Amino acid sequence: MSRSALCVLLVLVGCAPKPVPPPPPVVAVEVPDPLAARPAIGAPVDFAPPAPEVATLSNHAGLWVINRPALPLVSVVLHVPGGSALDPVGHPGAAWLSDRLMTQGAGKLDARAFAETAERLGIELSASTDLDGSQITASMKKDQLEAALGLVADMVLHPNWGVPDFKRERELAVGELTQALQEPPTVAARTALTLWYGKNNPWGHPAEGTVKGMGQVTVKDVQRYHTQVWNAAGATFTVAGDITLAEAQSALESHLGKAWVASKPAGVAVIAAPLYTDRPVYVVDSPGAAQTMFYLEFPGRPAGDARLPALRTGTIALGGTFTSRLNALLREKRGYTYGVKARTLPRHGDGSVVVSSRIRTDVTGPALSDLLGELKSIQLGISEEELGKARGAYKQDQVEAMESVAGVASTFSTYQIGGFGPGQFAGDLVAMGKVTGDAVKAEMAAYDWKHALVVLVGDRAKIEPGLTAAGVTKIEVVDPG
Amino acid sequence: MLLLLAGLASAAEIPFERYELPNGLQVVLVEDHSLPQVVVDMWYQVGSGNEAAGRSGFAHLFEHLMFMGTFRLPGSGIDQLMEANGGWNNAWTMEDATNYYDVGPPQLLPTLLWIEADRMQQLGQAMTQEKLDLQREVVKNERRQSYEDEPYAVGELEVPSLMYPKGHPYDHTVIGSHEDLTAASVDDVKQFFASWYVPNNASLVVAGDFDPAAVKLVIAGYFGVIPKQALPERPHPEAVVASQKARVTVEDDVDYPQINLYFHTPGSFQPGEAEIQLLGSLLGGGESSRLYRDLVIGGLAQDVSADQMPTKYGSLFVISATANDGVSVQQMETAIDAELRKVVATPASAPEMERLHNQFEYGFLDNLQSLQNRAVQLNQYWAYTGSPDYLVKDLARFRDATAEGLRDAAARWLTPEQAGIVVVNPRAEGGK
Repeated sequence: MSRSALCVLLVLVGCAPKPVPPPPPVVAVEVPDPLAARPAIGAPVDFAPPAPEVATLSNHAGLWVINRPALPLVSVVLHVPGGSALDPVGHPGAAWLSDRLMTQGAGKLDARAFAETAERLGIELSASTDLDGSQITASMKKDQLEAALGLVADMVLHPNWGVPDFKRERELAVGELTQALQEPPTVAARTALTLWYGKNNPWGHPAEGTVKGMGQVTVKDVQRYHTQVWNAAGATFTVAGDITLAEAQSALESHLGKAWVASKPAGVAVIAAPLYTDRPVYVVDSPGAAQTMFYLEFPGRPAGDARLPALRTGTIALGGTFTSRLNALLREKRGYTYGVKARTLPRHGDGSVVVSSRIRTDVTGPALSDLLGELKSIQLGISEEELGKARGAYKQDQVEAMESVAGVASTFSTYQIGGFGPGQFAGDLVAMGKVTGDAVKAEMAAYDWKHALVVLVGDRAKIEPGLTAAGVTKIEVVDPG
Repeated sequence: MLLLLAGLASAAEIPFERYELPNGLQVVLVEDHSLPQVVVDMWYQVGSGNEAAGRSGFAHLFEHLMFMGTFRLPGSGIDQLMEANGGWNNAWTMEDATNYYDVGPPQLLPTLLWIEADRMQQLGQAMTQEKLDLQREVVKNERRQSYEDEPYAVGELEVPSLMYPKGHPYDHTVIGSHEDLTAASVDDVKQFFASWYVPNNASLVVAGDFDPAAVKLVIAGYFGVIPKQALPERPHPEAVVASQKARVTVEDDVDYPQINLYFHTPGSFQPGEAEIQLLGSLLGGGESSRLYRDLVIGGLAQDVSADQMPTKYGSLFVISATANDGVSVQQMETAIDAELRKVVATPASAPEMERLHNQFEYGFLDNLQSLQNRAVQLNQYWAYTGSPDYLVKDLARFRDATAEGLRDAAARWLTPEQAGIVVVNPRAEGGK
């Protein structure tokens, strides 16, 4: 027992006239310190993830429904294959602008009326574009579901934007892309994407496009993209919230069933990133920057690959939590950064591992040496404790993803889009729980330095001597475009 | 106690139980078995507004030090213990408060409570120069990342001195200056801890998958041994009223000028604050908002926003807009001023009020889906209104807001002639 809460109590014995009582004894009584010992941690509580109910609409679009009736909310994700991989050469961003324009007028509503209608009903509605697909997300109170699906149907079937809307949104997009050139994380990620896949790969440019490329996008480009991808073939609906399968099926059939026909899906051939060796360190010069943005990318595993859980486990141990190796060294021990993040990026047919951080300019070289040291060290394997942490972190992430209906819809849509079964979410949880230390060690070869892509956004003049001292022999300055 | 979200399209219930320990610690229990997780949310009523002169950024620096270990759990033990068992944590510092939250699986709950009680009891005694120096560097890196290398954020560093007189609790930034962070000493840390990190200055919300009867015993056992203490006097600043426009201009590595107009508005949960928040939506909440139509659709700006930044001793309302190519700051300012006058002359229409109420209701429900958000919400109610029971009143103040109320609030608090303006211009040639 700890003595940190030792109390001394005086115990007075009752007095009598004779004989003279002995002096009152002092009795030491130890009061247990309730904080002295850590409490025991009980057995893990099972997590039974929700299982989507599956159906197919009359137009062959897939439908998954996850019933979460706790609050009167519904979230719908509609996805079609396509994406920025279909951008015409020299016109990067065409798909992205096309999707953006879907909220700038649809059906009988012009841009203003469309926004007023959605917002007046409290419907959160957006369209977005990825490298390999496009999607519409709509979240609302349940009593606005029909209205929301009506708007979604008009976005898909009856776009109604005009040339002035096109010009305005393109100009806004150019402005946003220009502003993004001052944001180190965005600059690093977009530069890395092009270097990772190569300019001629359909995935080799950001979905948002580039400043120069967006200026070249035409009305025909965006109209062609919409016609090409927004058909029911290959389309998937993921619906979560206070709604049953029958309700969702009925509502979707009503708005986007027979009226939305299936033609040929817009398939895109995936050209995996080439495996480069011994590349230079790429530097985007940012004179005067107080920090250097680090963005390191390594070959990883595609979604669904049986080795992905082991790679994911090792990556979490490397830089996925506060106590992960890179944070313990670069943030807590060295004081070089506010934080480091390592994550797997599984894509369809391809994948990578990314390590990113913002490092104080004056210690860029030493930080790179430290980072390389950790990458080598982790190839020797991880401890049982690290294994447990990674499993726990992954499981907790998945639990939290199930909190909101938008989170549930988004999570399961990823599986549905990837062509996985409705039980894959639960299967991944099980697989992460079974990853062994040996499997992780075998996957750590993914952090092979000779295949790494390193992009740094920082003050070149100030960081170059440190990089050279760290053993970097080739530095190439790149324009973020 | 059972609260009903009256006025929402479909009622949702948030059952919670509230009580107070003899040492003054406020406790709220929110039972929710929908997912196997728990949240422990500790709210201390001390923030940057309680910092001593020359110690800007100290409350936030102290927040970082709360994770540097105690005698019982030294080093990075807090993070290690949580993460080893599937949990995680974080914290944030505001002008009025500092909020610590732990999230994890249910079996970790006694441990999370033990960690919070342990550091409430003895973190200060375990402080060392080495810990302070390490976290000082981390915080300086946070400042570099969040302000110095973040486009337009240098403008935010100018706001406190522009909007508040010297000596006001909000006359400096939460992140602080490099000089003041460097000046912080171990004695400062120990004194700050002893003064403010006491049970009668804190509230604890436990939410999630647990047995309330068992948790009450744990809370009483762990926190009950920590004595109540006299608290330092809190500031009592006069309400700040701007007599005229004030302006500051800074440069940054950006391509387009940005204007930010700040107005003094009612403090958190004070009369008129709901109307001001709804005015934020009316002016800048979405593509059908008035300023979006005036400035973005009108071709003057690339983006515009209007938001209330609530704080206890009076809030700030900020309108921000980034110029389009070839548009001057003056043109944007003229358009914003015109809309602020129009909001008084032409109150919100019925469809606009419908939009504001529906957007609020959806946002409120959406926010409550997160267990952590629910915990924070109840702690905020306690901190700013004195009771977590405020939820029904909170909903009512938004539900009952009228177009006339918004007009009156705009006339009183959003007067163009009283704006504090921060302009961020592209840097002239010559670098940083």
